[in-house]
Amino acid sequence: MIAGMPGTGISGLLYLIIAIQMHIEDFYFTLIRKNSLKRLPVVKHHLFITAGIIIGMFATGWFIALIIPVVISQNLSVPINFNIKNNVIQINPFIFSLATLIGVYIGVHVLRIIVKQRKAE
Amino acid sequence: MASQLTVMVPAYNEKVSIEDTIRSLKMQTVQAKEIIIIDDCSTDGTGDIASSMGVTVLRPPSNTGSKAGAQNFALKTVQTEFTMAIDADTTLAPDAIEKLLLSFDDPKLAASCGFVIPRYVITLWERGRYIEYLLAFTWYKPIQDYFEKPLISSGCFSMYRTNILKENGGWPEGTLAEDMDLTWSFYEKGYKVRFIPEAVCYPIEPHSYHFMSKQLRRWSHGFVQNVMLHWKGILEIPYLRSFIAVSLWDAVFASIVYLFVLPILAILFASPILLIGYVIDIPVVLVPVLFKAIERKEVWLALMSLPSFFVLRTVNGFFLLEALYTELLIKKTFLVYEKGH
Repeated sequence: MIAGMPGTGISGLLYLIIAIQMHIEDFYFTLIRKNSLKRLPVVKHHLFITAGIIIGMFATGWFIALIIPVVISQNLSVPINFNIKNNVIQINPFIFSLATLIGVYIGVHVLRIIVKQRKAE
Repeated sequence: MASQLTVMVPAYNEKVSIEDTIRSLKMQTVQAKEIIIIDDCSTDGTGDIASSMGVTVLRPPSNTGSKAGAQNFALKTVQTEFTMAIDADTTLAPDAIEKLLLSFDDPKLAASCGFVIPRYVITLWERGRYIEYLLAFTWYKPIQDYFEKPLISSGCFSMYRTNILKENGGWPEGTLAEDMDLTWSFYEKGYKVRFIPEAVCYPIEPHSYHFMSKQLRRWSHGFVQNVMLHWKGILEIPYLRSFIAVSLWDAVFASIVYLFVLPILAILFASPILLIGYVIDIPVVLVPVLFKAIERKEVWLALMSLPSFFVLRTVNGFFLLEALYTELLIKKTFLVYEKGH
């Protein structure tokens, strides 16, 4: 079974960050010659997928930035000077998602500390 | 190692698929010592079909009411070092058992699971599930496995170290997602679980909304029930706690966005362009899916099935919200086990 909503929200971001962590870890292990052959194919595959997702996200942002002014202008039949940056999903939504993810992460740890303290009492 | 394996297949009215399942088990590169079909008081002759194929058939005195119940009924008889459970509507790649067995080189490994791909990809629901599985088993699960915390050892095809399984009391019967319950119990007791992508299984997925809704209801309630049951223990398990926390967060907020925020905003602002929000994360879905589809030479099938995934995901949001409301807010536990096909 699959838990939650695949592909959406902060789950997507978490897995992207953890995948990057995996590549950094693996690079470090390679440097100190402690590479795990068992996991090598997974890391190699995921390097391509991670890169593809990041490129894909920017391409989507670029595409949306391109079509939104056209669609809205057509709907309104009025030429409007839109101030949409080249890539609408470049930074702001990313920062918002990252902040949410950090918030959830902190929330989990706060909960963990509270439970631990209650157990100790 | 093969002589140390018992395969169990819980079955309730599975006359259409049980033959394929048994045949696929008999064609494995590594043969199990015993194949046990647990005929959970079927009324369609499932047990007779299984008997005619030369496998052991066990029949409880009355219907056990769940897959976990049927499996536990047979577990008492298992004497081998390893136990494998496979659904009665699932077939295996010829080397699937061999691949899973090879993973048990660590005595702390309690369970191992494989890659799941729907056997039939025809209807909207099967297509949605096909994309969901390609995404999850190509992108999420290997990352979870790298950090030694696969979220679930899938109930449709998993292998277990029998003594650890018995020490756990078999498959838990208190929630609707016994596979998730068991996996998280293993972690809480300090055991490991692995995901082996080379071991492939092919279950029959719900082909219509009627059956898909039953499965989604069971899975959603099972997820919420397990979070409620295990949350304190999970907080001490790195990575797993993060995987579950974000899944739960998205179950709430992504569902609200899909079901209410996006359509309401689109109507309020009379702007259908806002509905692009339903597919804004398409690269996160498409890249891993295409990666696997190219390997399986199924690119066209994957591209044609992609829209179905977004439909399934939105419908899934409804069942997740319903489960959260029922289990968490009004504290009504849903424990009726309904088959998804």
